[in-house]
Amino acid sequence: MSKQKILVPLANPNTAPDLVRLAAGIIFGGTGEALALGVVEVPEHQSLSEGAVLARQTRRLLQRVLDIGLVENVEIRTVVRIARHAWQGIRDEVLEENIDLVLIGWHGELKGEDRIFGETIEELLKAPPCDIAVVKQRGLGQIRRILLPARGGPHAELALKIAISIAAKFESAVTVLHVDPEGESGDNLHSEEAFAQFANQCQDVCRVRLTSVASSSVVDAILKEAKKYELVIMGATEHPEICGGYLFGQIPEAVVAQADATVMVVKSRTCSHGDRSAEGD
Amino acid sequence: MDADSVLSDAVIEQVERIGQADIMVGIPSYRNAATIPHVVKAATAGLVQYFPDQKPVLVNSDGGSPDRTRELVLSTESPDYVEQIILVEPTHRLQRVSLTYRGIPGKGSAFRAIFDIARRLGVKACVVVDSDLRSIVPEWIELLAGPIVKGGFDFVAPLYCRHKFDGTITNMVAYPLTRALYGKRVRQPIGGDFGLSSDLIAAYLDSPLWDEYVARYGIDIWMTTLALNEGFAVCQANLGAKIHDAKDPGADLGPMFREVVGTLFRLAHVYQGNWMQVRGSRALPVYGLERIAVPPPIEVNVERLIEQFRMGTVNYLPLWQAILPADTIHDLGELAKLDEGRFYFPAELWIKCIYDFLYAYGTVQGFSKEQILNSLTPIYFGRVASFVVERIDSIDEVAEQDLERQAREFERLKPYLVSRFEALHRSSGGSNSPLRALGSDNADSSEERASASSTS
Repeated sequence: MSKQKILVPLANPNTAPDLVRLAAGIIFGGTGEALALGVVEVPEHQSLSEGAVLARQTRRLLQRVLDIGLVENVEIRTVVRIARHAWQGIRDEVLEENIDLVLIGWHGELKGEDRIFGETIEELLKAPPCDIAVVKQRGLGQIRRILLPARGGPHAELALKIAISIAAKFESAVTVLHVDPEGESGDNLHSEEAFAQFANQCQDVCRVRLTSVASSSVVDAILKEAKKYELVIMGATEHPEICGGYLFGQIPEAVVAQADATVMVVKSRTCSHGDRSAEGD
Repeated sequence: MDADSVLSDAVIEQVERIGQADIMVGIPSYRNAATIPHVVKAATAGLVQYFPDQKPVLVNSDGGSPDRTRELVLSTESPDYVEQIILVEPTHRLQRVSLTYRGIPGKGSAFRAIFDIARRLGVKACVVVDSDLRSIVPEWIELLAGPIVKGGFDFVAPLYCRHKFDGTITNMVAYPLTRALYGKRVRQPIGGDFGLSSDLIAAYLDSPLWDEYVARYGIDIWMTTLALNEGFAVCQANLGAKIHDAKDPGADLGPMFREVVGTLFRLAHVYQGNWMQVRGSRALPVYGLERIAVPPPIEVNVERLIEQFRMGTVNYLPLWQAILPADTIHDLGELAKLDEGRFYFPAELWIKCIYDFLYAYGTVQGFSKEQILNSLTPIYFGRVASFVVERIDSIDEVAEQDLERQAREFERLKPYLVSRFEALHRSSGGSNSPLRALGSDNADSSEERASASSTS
């Protein structure tokens, strides 16, 4: 079995520890390593060699990340790259190291009226070079409860996998939430069967509870439920770009922006338009 | 004149005349007339060859040598080949300063003067090298300064090929204990030859953790430990063979052992919050190619080491009884009965002794720090004697594998140390750190910890 490789781009010393903890959780139970990446952005008008001086803060940050790895018992390597743009450095590292998943924090600045993610995440998601997990960090203490809003969909499998692994590492309980939009005659029976099957599969590694609510607003229902959880993990909508230029979909992005808890939203590369094999080296 | 300054007014004036520099080589010395010219030649050539565009300065910080050490620093020219072969003239002329530092005589005070000058001149990178080196070559300057200037690191520790019996304090305590505590594999934490960034130098100068041991031989482990714990970026550089005035551990290393180990133990208490949760260790980035070298052999008087160990089992028994568990004292007593041919001091017994002494250094009352360290010294002699007996016919690589095994044992047994500290926390209701229980001569340590944390 090949080693799972997670790339964790880091820039903020305050939020880095939680990202590394999440990476440790995702790796937990299998063989894998986290690659902590610091990208030193050197503006176009400066020589790239000047990045060496700018790299000092990044190196210090990554040194601290190694300490977190020792506490969390996760294998971590650190890499510093010089690039014109952070997304370029991340993309290059993904391709060179054959990364499976990029776990990246979102600082929360709004960009324009319709879009909430910044340039780095947007550029990465235009043609995802691998699976992507974006985390809106609102502080993680003990991760006792994880909420997993799910309606199936192509990215849900990745979200489930990540939730189970994190729950196993931190001994958390997972609640799978299914929201039935009121008035829609849906496939409730089918969903419940699928959830039950899933829960049975997971019982060996973590505690899983299924819950289903009916609501006229899926977003409101998730936000209401999320108040009781430390971490929310959800998959992207199947074709988010079709409706309104969303990167992950309207519902996940509304939850990311409005929830009180830390939210991770994931997008699987195999279900996205990007295809690594089509890119040059 | 600033009474606390390690620099005299005349030196400060000289430094002010120089004004500014980009890169510095600092050489501490005391009675090194025989060896320092070679070090100066290598350093000056290294500055010209590898950093021709940087403004260089060479500083010798001397402990008042009665021989010609300082005079030779100022008069030794760069090697002839530099002028004959290298056609590019360096942009700046090399400035030299040789001074007698003030304060407690010792390597740490010499370094403090070098750091003070580095900060006054605003250097970006400072390399410090020992004055008794015979194997230094110009490339060492690039290997130690390169990661600072070109790579964004703050602290470059050396990696050497050393004879299997050279560096016994490093091999038996400084390396494995630093690795187990802080989780970073700094193979030569007291190597003496380091590269330092300006930020790190400022942190050293502003640190509240200077003391008498740091002013002496405790300086190297103090520098390494602060770099690891205060958030600086650390790497290592492959320097090749270290050939220097090597010492017989039983004859020459007693005071050095106390100063190094005393500093290690004190800082372990100061940085307790940083290491209690750390498990395992990580390799650090290494700069430069590994070189194959055969360092000259070191003679060790095993008989004397064992004799000193045996005397320790008698002289320090009351102190050991306050520090070590009964079964450990029993095992040490049994060891003392063995003759030289069968003398075998297991790594596990040694590591438990180190952990018990580390714990005691902050908690046992009624004995001074010096008494505690003096009583550990014969145990160290016993462990060194055993290592020499066991590895007398081994090649250096096999001895190195032994030392790596010992380092892993330090990690494996770390929970024993952690459990002792945790038990103390529990018995004090969880609110008191072991520092609260320190004897009177350690009363300043809780303040030290607070000050140290505020600098991180």
